[in-house]
Order: sequence, then C-alpha cells, then structure tokens
Amino acid sequence: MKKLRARFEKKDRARYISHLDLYRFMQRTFRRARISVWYTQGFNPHLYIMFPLPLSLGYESECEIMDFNINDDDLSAEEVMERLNAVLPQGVRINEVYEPVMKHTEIAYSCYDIELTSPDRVLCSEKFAEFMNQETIVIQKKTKQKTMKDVDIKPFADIKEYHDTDKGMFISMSMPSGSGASYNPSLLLSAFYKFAGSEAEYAAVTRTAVLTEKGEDFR
Amino acid sequence: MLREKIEPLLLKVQKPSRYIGGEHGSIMKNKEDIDVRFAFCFPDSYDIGMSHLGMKILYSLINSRENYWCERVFAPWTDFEELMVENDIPLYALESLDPVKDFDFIGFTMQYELSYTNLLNMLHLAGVPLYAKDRGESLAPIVIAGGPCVCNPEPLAEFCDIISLGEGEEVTLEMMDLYDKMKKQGATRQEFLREAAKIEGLYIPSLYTVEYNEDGTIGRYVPHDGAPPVIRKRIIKDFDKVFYPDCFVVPFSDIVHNRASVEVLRGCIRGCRFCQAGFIYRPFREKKASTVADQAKCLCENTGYEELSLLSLSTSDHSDIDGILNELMEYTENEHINMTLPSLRVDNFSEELLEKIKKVRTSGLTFAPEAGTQRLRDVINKNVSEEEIMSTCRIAFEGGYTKVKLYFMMGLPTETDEDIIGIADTAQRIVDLFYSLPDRPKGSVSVSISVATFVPKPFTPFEFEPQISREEIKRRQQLLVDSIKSKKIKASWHDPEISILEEVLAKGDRRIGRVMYEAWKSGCKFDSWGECFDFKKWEAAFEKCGVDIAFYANRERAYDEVFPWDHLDYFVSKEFLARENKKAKQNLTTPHCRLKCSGCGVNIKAGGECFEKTSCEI
Repeated sequence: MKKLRARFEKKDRARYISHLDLYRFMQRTFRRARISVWYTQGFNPHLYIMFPLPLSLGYESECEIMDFNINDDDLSAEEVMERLNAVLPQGVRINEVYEPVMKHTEIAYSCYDIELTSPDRVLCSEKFAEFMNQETIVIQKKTKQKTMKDVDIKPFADIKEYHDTDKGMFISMSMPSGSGASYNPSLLLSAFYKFAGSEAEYAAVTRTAVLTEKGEDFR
Repeated sequence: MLREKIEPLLLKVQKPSRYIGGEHGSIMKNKEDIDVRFAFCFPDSYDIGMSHLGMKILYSLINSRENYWCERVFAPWTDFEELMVENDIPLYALESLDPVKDFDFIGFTMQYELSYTNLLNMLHLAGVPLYAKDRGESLAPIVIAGGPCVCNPEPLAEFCDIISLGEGEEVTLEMMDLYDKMKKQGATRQEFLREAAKIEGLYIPSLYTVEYNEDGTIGRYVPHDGAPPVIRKRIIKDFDKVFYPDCFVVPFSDIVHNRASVEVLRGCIRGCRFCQAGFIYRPFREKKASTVADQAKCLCENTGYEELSLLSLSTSDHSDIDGILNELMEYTENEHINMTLPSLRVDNFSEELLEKIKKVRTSGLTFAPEAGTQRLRDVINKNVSEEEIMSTCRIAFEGGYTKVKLYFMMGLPTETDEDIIGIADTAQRIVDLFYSLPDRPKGSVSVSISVATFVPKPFTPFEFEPQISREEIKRRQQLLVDSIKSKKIKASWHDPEISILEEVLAKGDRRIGRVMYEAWKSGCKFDSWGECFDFKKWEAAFEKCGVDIAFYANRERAYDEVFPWDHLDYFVSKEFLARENKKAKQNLTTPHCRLKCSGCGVNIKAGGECFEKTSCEI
C-alpha cells in the first residue's frame, strides 16, 4: 500500500459538483482508471479517499487536495496521474500526484481570486477601500452549536490586491481555512454587499492556493 | 451565449449540477460537422430522467452516427424554471447549452401519463408553438414522442408531429436519415411528414381525422394523403444483437437509479391481465448470457459504477438466469460491485438464487402479489399462490432478511371487500410466519404494503373495464386500514385523484388534449409530484372544456367499441384481449407463454415463433 496525495483543479462545469458528491465522483474515476485503491477494513468496507479542505459549491479551484492509498506499490505517481486524467471529465484535472509531505492540520490559509460582476458599478474599488477601512467588519457566523454569533472578520481577511474591471471588480485575498477557524470569502462578500447596498450579479470565486501557517504551499 | 446567463443563476437553485451538463460520458460534438440535431427530452426532472434506460440507449445510438448529435433535456424544477423565465432563458440542451427550438428534432419519451403536462410546459419554455398545426411550413423543429404511453397517443396527438410506436432502436435512425435527405432538398414540414408516414412505426396524427358517434365514442379514423389506415409498432428482431451503449452519462449528483444497467430480456411471458408492459412489449426476446455479461462488464469499466442492475420486466424468467449470474458473480465480487436484480417473481425465487443475491448486499425484499386472495389473483392472471408467497418469505427470513415490501392493487375487476381484507390477512400471515420461525433473524419484522389504485390501461384485457369511483376508492382504502391489526404492518398508497387522472389520460382521445392544454395553462405541471399536483385545476379544466371525467374513467366499454388506439397495431389482437377479459370474469387463468401459446397474435406479426426450440422449458 502506498499513500498518495493529488493536487487537482476543479473548474468550469465541474465546479457544480458538491463536496458530498465529489467522493463518489472520484471513486468512479479510480474505477475507470483501473487503479486499485485501498478499502477501509471495517464492517462496511469503503474506498478510502479523503478531501481535507471542502470547497464551496460553485467555486473554482486550482489547488484541491485529495489523499488516497493505492494497493499497487509499483505504480508510480506519474502513472496514477496520467491514468486519472485520461478518464476525468473536462473541468477536473490532476496537476500533481506525490507522497504526502505535511499533515492536514498544517493547512492554515486559502487564497482566493474573486471576480465581481456589478452592472450598476456600485461594487468598485473605491467602495471596497471604504469598506475595508472600517474599524471592524462584524458578521454573523454559525457556531458548531448551530447558534449565531457576532464575529469581526476584518483581522482575518488579508487583502492582497483589488482593482476595477470592465464588469465590476477584482479582489485577491486570503482567509484562514483548515482544521482551525475557517472563514469563507462569501462572509466578507455578503458584508461588502450590505455595506455598498448592492449585490453582485455574479461572484466568480477561485481558490488559488492552500497555505501553511508560514505561508508555504501545503504539500 | 446562453451559458453566461445560466451560470449566475445556478447557485440560487437546488442541485445546480442538473442544469449544466459536462458529466463523464456526455457527448460533445462540433456543431459545424453535424447534419441533424436531436434534443432528447425527458418530461420530468433530471434525477428521474437520468435514471431511465431507454434514453441512454437512444442517446448513444444517435450519437454513434458521426453527423448526428443527440443531446439531453430535462424539465427544470420549478425553482430554476422561475429564474429561466425571469431571465429570458429558453429551454436548452445540456451538452451544447443551445436553445432546444433550434434543433431539428425535439423528442419526448412518455413513460407515464402524469408527465404529459410537462411535455406542454417544456415546449412552451422552448418557445415552440404547442399545437403542431401552428408550427408552419418550415421543416424544423419536428416534435416527436415515443415510449410506452404512446400506445394511446391521442391526448398528445395534436401537440406532436410524429408519434413513434414500439421500439426506437431502428426507426429513429431511419427517420433521421429521411429527414437529413429531405432537409438537404429543402423540403417543407408537411412534405417530410407525408414521407415519414411511409416508415413503419411512425404515426403522423395530423394525417388522420377523427369522427365521433353521437354518444361521444369514436366513430372512425380517416387517413389522408396516403397515410396507412393502421400503423404498426416497430420491434427489434434480433434482440441479442441490438445496439447497446458501452458507456452511460454518469451524473455528478446522486439520482434515483445511479448505476450501470443491462437489459437482459424484453417482453414478458406472463400475461398478467392488468399489466400494460406485459402486452405492449411482446414478443419475448432474450439476450444470451454471454452478451449480458460482456455488456455489463463493459459498462462497469467505462462508467466506474459500483452498482450493476440486470433489468427487464421479469429477470428471473430469463431461460439462462443461472448462466448470467454465474458469469457475473465472480466479476462483481472481485470488483466490489453491488449487483441488483429488480423484478423477481415469487414463483421461481429459489434458495440458490437468494444465496447468489445475498453475496452482494441488499437490505430488503420486494414482492408483488398484486391481490389479496387467490380468486382475485386468478382473475388478474397473476399466477402466484399463497404458498409461494409464504415459502419465499420463509427463505428470505431464514436468509437474514427482516424487511418485506409487498405491492398490491385496489379496485381490480370483480374485487369485493373480502379481497381487500385479504391484503391485510396476507401481510398478517407473513408477520406470523416470521415469529413462528426458530431460525429467524434477530429483531423485529417489518412488512410494508403499498397499495395502488388500479388503472385499466389500453392493450390489456382490462382495457374494457371502468375504474372504480373516487368514493369507492376511499371506502376501500379505509376498509384496508381498519383490517390491519399489527403494528409491524405499514400500509401506503397514492392519492386516488392521481390514479383517476392517470386513467383519463391513459384512455383519453384527442378531446382530452384540449383539457390538458387548459390544465397546463392554469399552472398544472409535474403532476406526478405530490407537491405540484392540483386536481382542482384539472377539474376546472375538464369543466371548461365540457368533458366528463366519468365518460373516460368510469365507463365500461363494449368489446366492439372503437377505441382511440384501435388504429395502432401493437401486435396483440383485440380478439385475444376480449377473450382474456371473459376468462378473467370466470376466474380462469392463462398459462405463461413458455407453457402454452395463448394466441395473442404477436407471433404472426413478429414473423415466426416466440420461442426457439433450443430455449429451455420451465
């Protein structure tokens, strides 16, 4: 048995595969690729495939992580990648397969590129600067006990870049994600819409990197 | 580009992956290389439609031709439909995301009557005139319907340019070839339809005028423009060699039946008198065990499915079912594939078969005794005895099963209160049987009985029969509830009004088409979905059109009455159906086709014997 980790992109029409459906999707992909994947050995054996970091439905990603174990030790990581890519539908592409270097708990941040479509131009860089200049940005966040609590997310949103585009505006940012506190960029976007008094017609979000506490790529 | 309008809406609706395509196995082609485009529409949601085998077969078949492109279309669920209308998005196909109205063919498969209003709604969303007569002279789009329901297509007749009778594997390509040729010649719609009428299996409703008698029954059908007086259904002669897909479209989301499936046989030898499928799919034809096994393995490999289903009306009637299971058992076990066999019969359900099925996990067993007493089972020719039901349940219980589901019908011809009480008694005896077994599994037993209201259908021996009235349905349901004594027994049924509508649509004529149109205009769609079904709107539509529900649903029809489907030849003769009807009323059964030919007439029209001499006797 060999432990492997794949980094894959999930784009285009494949962005509508939900996190729950992704397991079955990959299970069938492994079968089509004729790659024998390790089954759990319990009462009800099931294929062991693990996605440490869920991606919101509709978001694109260049850097999703999937862990799995293969039974054939002689099968190289490159071969696994080639065989999977041969049977994956358009939109999902494996970019690297390797033996895991880090633990899942080392995941600390995700980076996102966001394209906002704002036909009325209310959502623009000027407005966004104003929004980010507030003392605090308080949002309501669901707790694990299913209650809502007020959280100031301003300290968590690390804005790298933003500018106007011909459709609206572009934001590049990172936010904490992983096994610790996790913040979805949609929380910040909703607060921005409320502040601006206008909703984006469409927000195209792409996860561009998964980072450790030190800001290194998670591997 | 529709796509730019669609995508911003997707995250506002449930299960967005249903509306965007791109699944593994979906077929993309270059528009410029295509001569004929076919929009294959399933008039229900993606989750239902993607579970349907017939669509998968025809999708692959049409796409096997380089210059034809078949795409999939489903009814958008109401949340997405609302957004489509608001944002001026017409009905589109899932592969190209192009509007359906730009296709050459818009084909619908009609699997159940309660999807009829969805056909109208989808045409409307596509921006295609609902009535065929309003579609002008330009060739495209041709609206065609097929599937089991079109054995009486008359309620749909005025909305469809073509009705395809019987099996589609051959006729679909013949029709598209004719279209391809005539499109290049610049033919009009009417010219094409007149030529299409010459292809066996294609019924062009606009080429027929209906004359009615004073009492409202059909007088006769008058053909025009050289259309044949009788239209014969198409069948595939060599079923073992017929086209079968080597891959399915594998949905992103979970749907009703998400699995590889192989059709092992077509038709049915049984002749249960209530069952339309048992008659309209005749003659009985099988695939060889090796063909089934090859197709199953090929599908599993190409789709990656972890579940395989062997489909047919009665899989255990395959003359070589053991051969099939032997060929597949090792493969499915090694590959961790769960094999399911729907449609088993209680009378040939052996311990050996159960052993084989049990090796692959299943939770419960489902059987269909259909009626609560032996007398009534004889009437409907469901040749299953109480002992067989009990011995099957015993085998199942001893094999570790604790859940049994039983299907029954209510309102069968000649049914009395005794037969209704018999349903509860049968369930009770199964509960008692469980507790009488020393080797029973741990825990408690659960027997669920699902009771459908009987809907007499065309091309069955009960096509002459009325449906029982709404009041009577309710009374008998109450009687059943009162007869159930054990908490281990759970009964469930459909809304009786759904069955009433199903009956009217099943036996309706062209006058029902207008009612459907009115019902649709008042908002009826997704009628088979409890949350959407609104019988009051339907009743208002019937009233507006001056059409009496009882005339269609609750009227006994004479053997010599002309039916709206009499000009369609499904090979089973009306004389045979009348003969079976008379036998039913005398509680006389008819043996299955392998034991003795019942003279239904199919063999004469299908050309030759139903059974080869080599096929084994049961």
